Amino acid sequence: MSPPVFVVVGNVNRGKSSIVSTLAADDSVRISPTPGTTRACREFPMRVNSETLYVLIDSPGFERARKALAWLEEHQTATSDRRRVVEEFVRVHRESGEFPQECELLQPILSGAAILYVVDGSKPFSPRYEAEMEILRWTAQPRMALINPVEKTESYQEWRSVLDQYFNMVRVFDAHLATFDQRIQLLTTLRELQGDNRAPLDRAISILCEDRRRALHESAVVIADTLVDLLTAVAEKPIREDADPERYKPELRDKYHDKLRKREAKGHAELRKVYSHRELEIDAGELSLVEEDLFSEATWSQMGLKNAQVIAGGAAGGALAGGVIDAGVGGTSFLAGTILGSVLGGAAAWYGSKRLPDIKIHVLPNVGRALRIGPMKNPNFPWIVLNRAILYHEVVSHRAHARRDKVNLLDVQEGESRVSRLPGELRGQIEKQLTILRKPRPLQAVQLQTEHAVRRNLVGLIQQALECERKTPV
Amino acid sequence: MNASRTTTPRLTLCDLIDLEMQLQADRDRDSQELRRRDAQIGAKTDARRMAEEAGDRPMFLAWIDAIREQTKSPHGSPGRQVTLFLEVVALVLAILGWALGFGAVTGWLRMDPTEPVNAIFFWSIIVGIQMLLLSVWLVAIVPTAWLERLPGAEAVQMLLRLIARGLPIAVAWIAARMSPEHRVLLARLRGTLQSWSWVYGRVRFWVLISLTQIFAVAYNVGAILAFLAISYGNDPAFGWKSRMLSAEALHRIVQTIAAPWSWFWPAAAPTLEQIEATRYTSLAERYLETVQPAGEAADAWIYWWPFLLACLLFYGLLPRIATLTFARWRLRRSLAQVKLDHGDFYKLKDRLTRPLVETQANRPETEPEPFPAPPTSPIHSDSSLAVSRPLPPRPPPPPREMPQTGLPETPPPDSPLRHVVQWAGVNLTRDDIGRLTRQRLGVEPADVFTVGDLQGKGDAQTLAALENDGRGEVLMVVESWEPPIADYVDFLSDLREAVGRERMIVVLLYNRDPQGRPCPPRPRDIQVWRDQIAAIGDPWMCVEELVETGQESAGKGQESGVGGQEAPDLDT
Repeated sequence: MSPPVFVVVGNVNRGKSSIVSTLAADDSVRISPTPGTTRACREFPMRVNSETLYVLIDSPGFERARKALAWLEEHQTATSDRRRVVEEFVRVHRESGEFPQECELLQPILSGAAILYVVDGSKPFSPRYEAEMEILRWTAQPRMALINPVEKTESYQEWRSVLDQYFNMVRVFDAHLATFDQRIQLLTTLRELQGDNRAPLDRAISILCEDRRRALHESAVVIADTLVDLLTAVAEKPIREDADPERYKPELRDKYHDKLRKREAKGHAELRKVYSHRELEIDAGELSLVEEDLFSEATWSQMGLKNAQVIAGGAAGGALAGGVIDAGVGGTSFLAGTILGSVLGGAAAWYGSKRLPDIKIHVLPNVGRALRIGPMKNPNFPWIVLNRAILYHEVVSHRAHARRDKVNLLDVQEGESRVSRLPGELRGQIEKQLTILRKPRPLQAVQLQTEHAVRRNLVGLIQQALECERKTPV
Repeated sequence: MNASRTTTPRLTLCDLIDLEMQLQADRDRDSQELRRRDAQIGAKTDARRMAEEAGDRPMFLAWIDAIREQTKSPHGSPGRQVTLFLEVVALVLAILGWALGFGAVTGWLRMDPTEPVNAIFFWSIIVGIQMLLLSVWLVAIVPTAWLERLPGAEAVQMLLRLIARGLPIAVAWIAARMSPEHRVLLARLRGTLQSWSWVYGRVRFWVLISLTQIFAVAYNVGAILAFLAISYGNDPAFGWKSRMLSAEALHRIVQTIAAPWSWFWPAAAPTLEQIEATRYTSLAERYLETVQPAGEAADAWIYWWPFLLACLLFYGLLPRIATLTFARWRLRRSLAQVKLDHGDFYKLKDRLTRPLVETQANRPETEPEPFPAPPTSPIHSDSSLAVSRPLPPRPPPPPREMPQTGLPETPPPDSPLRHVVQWAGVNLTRDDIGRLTRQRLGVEPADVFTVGDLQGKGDAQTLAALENDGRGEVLMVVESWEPPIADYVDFLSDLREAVGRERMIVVLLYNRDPQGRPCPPRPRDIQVWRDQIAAIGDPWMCVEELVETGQESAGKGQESGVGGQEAPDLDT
């Protein structure tokens, strides 16, 4: 059985391409206020390993519906004859070159496609639309009307009463604000248009849901990788024995910061790809690494953890270490280890939070004398990075592909940082992994092994963090 | 190859190298491109089922097979090249070992024809040193857990590690003499190799051990062949001399050494009599005296020959064949135990088992054409609704006499005649239109027609009426929120045909607020209409707003009408 085909039709500038763009998750669809942007039908097959499960077709808008209807009525001999007249219309005008848009959009319908008729619910009804609907009714294909958008609903009732007369189903679908769940909901509704041929759509829905779940996991992997890479990054500059190290320090610091920013940007680009956003522009701002930004209370509360949360994280880590000592002495220390560890851990976190990595001279194996900066030990830094990654993921995962406007990441945040809002237990588990990563290990093999383990553990934790994020469109 | 994978999913060194090299190369590739490639391979090889039924390894092996198939290189895959290189190295080592073994024994047996070959010395150098090296080798491969049980084993391993440190020291010594940039490159290379050795250290160890054992086997083969060849061709005499050992003591030692074969090859274990008979001193005279008498006494000098041959076989060749076999087995086992689970494999598994879901267009979108050819003159065919075709160019337009805003509601008595044509969707009453045109243009409409109805009857009647009238400007009121599609353009073309040239047609854009009150159109809509009318190329046709900004009633803002907010872009 051939896959179900749906052709999205309607008047010019009513959001047909937007709906296709959102349903097909394809932001390459050209969307413009200028009439006539879509000139020819364009297919968007939903393929799974090359097997097509359904096809969406974007079509040009009706341009001369009244005249086309007049022609049809003129050539009609009987009501039962209507579909044949529409076929005749297309045949005649394909040859003559008249009614190019109407011929183009009717062709797939006559080949068996179901109709998705799109109207703009914010704009008033006009008699011209009746001509379009009448023509579509003449084709006798299953059809559904989509009202888009619904933000301004003053004409909704007017549309609804007309559409109910011409279409099997009428639904509301805002292509610019539709979430993934709404997209799936619409596909579920489309099954109703398909009669017995529902299996491919059922499969498509199930696969899209599974793919979405895996995309979330893939995002967690990307973020975990980015976080570990950023926290273990160092920059080195070999220098001669007699060279003045101060001369090279500014250059090395810039190199280190540049390395961190590039790595973060790479992670963000990967997140965009996970959700097939090729054109989406997100202004994430620059990952601030200057002292006045990174350590300002405002940045912390806005993008990272609050002071109290950082100290609490450190104290928890210290308490854990102290608890091990208490356990080792069989409890004879009366929890002194835990208390002391907690105090020391909190103090260390507070002190560490005010520090940026220094540039130091090292003697590197096989390299000799070299300046080295990094890795970043500041306890708030990973939280700022994680917060930005969560925000970024929020945008790319929820953003409808029909939207073309630029997003500012700071605008998305609205209030306190996402990481501050994570459940305390989850935050503690993430902090534990970050603490492991911060501890230097002299043997490279052990260091690699630790990083590997932390990466794996972080993936699961970050996935949980991503699931905590808001589910509303951005 | 795939078929064999399903039955014997064995990882070879070639596979492992290819897997690592490919994953390394994939790190810099576009993630979507990788997803597409690997999902296709996954679907083709049924990776998901394979992973569920047989684990990840067969799935990865099928993947690397498919990659090799896709990237057929005339030189073979990197793994193939490395294994070929290792085979060449093994061959070179085998030839070297053989030559060294052959040369050592030949040189020894032909060293001094005036004196018999000292069997003790020969055995110590050719067999004893090998046994010592073999013992060290065995201690070196003892698992860490067993070190405590073997006295001295830990010390030997530590010593070997110290020796192994010589290589990095040598590298550091070389690196110190390089430029800083090259030093960093070298350090990175070292880091990469170190990270690989962390994951695949055991495999690397047993590859190297196998190579050394090939050398050792070849050495012994060479030694035995030389021993046989020289013995048969040169007839060397074997004896022994030692002031420290008595014949009895040597006999006990020989019996111990020959224990493995003496029970089935007694000729290869010299008796006490034979040992005593072949004792000699360094004095040549004694030797000559002993040798000169021919006959049975002379045969005594070959008693040692089978013993030494057996030593070469049992303490040289056979242990080395065993160690080679063991090393090969451990290499296979190490390969079998390699965990293909680091980050890149983790991602690969996801790419292979995740169905490739594609919803994007199957071809790129074509560039939009400019506005449709303007129908500057209507040409009626057999139908009154026929599509228009363009006309030749026209003379430049006369200066427009558009009234300014803020004009009095009552038009001056000599104001020109204005016909108003409103599109059906505008849906204004005659009074409303009159009020708005008075406000905006300071004119009173002579008559108001409605066009754009479903059947097109209004269009035909209006055109006929205006054609008959033959004078006055035409004000055509349209919905600003509707795009200027062909339906409008066709009508304007018909209108121009009906009213003739040089009569002004003003397209007035009407918008209304949510309460239904007239308001200014959106700037974007004005621009779209202006672009479209300009494309018609009619000098006596222009676009204006029916309500200008600031003119609207109740102080409504200009973005409050239909599509009032700057809504997201819509398509066509």
